[in-house]
Amino acid sequence: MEKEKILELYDIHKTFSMDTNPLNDKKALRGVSLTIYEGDFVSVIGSNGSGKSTLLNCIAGRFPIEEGSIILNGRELRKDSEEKRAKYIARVFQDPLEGTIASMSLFENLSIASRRGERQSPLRWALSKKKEVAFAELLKSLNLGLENRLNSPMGTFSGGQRQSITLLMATLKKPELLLLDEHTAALDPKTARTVMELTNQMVREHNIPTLMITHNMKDAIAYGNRLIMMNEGKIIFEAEGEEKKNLKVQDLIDKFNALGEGTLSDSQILAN
Amino acid sequence: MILSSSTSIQNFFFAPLPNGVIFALLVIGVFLSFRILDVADLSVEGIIPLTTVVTAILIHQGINCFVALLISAFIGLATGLLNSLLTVYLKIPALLSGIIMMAANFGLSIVFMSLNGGVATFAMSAHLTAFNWLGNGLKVAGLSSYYANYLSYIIVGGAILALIAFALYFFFGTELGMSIRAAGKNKHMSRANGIQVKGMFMIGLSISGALVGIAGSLYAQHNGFGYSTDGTGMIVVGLSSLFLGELIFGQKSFKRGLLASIVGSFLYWYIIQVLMLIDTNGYLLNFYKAILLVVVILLGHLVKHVTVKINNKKNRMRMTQEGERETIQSPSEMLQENFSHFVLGAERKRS
Repeated sequence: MEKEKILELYDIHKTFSMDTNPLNDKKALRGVSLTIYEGDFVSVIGSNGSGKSTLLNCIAGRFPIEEGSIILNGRELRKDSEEKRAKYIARVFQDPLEGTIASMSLFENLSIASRRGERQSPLRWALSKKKEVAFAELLKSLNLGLENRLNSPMGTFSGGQRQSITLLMATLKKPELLLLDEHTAALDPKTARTVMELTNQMVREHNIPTLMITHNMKDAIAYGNRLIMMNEGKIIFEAEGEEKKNLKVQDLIDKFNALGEGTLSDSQILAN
Repeated sequence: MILSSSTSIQNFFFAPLPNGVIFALLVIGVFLSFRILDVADLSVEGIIPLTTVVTAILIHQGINCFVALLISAFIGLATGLLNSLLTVYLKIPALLSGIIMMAANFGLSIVFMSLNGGVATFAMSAHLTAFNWLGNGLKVAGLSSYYANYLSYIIVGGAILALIAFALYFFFGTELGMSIRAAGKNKHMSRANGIQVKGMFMIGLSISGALVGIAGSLYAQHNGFGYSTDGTGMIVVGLSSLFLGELIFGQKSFKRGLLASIVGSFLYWYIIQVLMLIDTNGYLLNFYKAILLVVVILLGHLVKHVTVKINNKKNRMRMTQEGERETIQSPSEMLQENFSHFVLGAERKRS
């Protein structure tokens, strides 16, 4: 039986112009096509500068694309602004400081995320007792002891807590697509594992189609049902299901090495 | 002798009140631009002279003082809106666009003055202002003109200030108000949550401008005239007052920011009153104002430093009381636990 298509990318091109000289243009994406189906959890790997982050930002609308089309559940998003796409797409960034507002309270942050992409009324009070109870209940499920700290400023939480909260924020209003941009990379290994587990649990529980960039090849193999490898703005390898499960880190490293010298940084080899 | 010293003490307490209450609105405007939207908006220095001049001319022409007040608020709002458009659509940095609006408004105030024969004054005895309708009534009721005047400034000014402060407190607690605060603090997060960052910036700066416009109009109605140089040093007044207030209330929430703006404004004018005792001929006053701003900023750093220390101590105590809910690893502990991961962690952050 054919699975329902969620996100369809057709031949996406993105070039960054450094100056007026076209010779200095950096071609970040050179024709990326990808289809994500219902229930897909896709992990994306690739060396620095392979275009994986650019791809995510193009889908989210941070960068406009020159060519190609981005179709989410039948809607063409290419012309839509980042703010407009937020209605359907939720994101978690690499930097824990980026995904939340440090000077505002946990309650306020959650409240903003709970209305992602919706009209903001100038008359309706943003915080309510009803919301407080509901949020406390959800925070309890994270098991981080955050339910009593709704009124603490976000800046008083640790990086791991902030990423866990951002994940919760991304799923408060169920998105049609979840984009994770190396969201565990800035955390210490132990916390990264916890956040990764939480991610997996949330994605599976709410059945959210997800695209996750990671530097960690172990994570890329362990989590999700599909794996994509990018290099120089193109998708060069795809694996799914049984094939992906049987992949070894060494297989991936070999594939990288086959591309030529220096495409894989030492840090990525060290990671595994 | 005793009589004169008691009147001077009385003066010392009453004299800063009108300025305190009028400029509290300007300080709230500066708080909105500087703290909420995170831009140093210098257009303040242009809105004040333009609105004082316009108000004085309008009242002289026999226009109702509250209409003049509304027109001034609109001038401020339009300035804020134009200022934000320059930043958002023409990509002129906010500091520069503020300077542009400052110069433009200053220029307009000169135009209006010259069209009016080089002056912008009105006779307070002949025209009603926002303050003297009440002052006149109090005088009729038997109060001395000294108390009647000061009471009218405190009551009318205080009522307008309270009304605006409550309205702002409500507005910035609504969904839209919270989005404005979010957009000012973290653009990426706001966009990722569908908040129209550009629009929020425009609304915020317009509100800030309107508040400054109201302050300018009330200032003219208090003085009985407007002048092109009324705006000189107004951003220093606004920032100094705000920082003074924040020494007491901190920056934790919007409510505290509002309180800091209002209390800071009164504190500032009392300090100016003290400085005026030292500098009797007034030549050094503006110089003192600059030094005062530096001192207040330094005091702010000191307070922050001390509170961070106290908070750290509290946190440590709470951690040990609650047991190991969250293990905080020092870099050396992390190294011991997993060398390669630590090196990698550092690498990843850089990439």
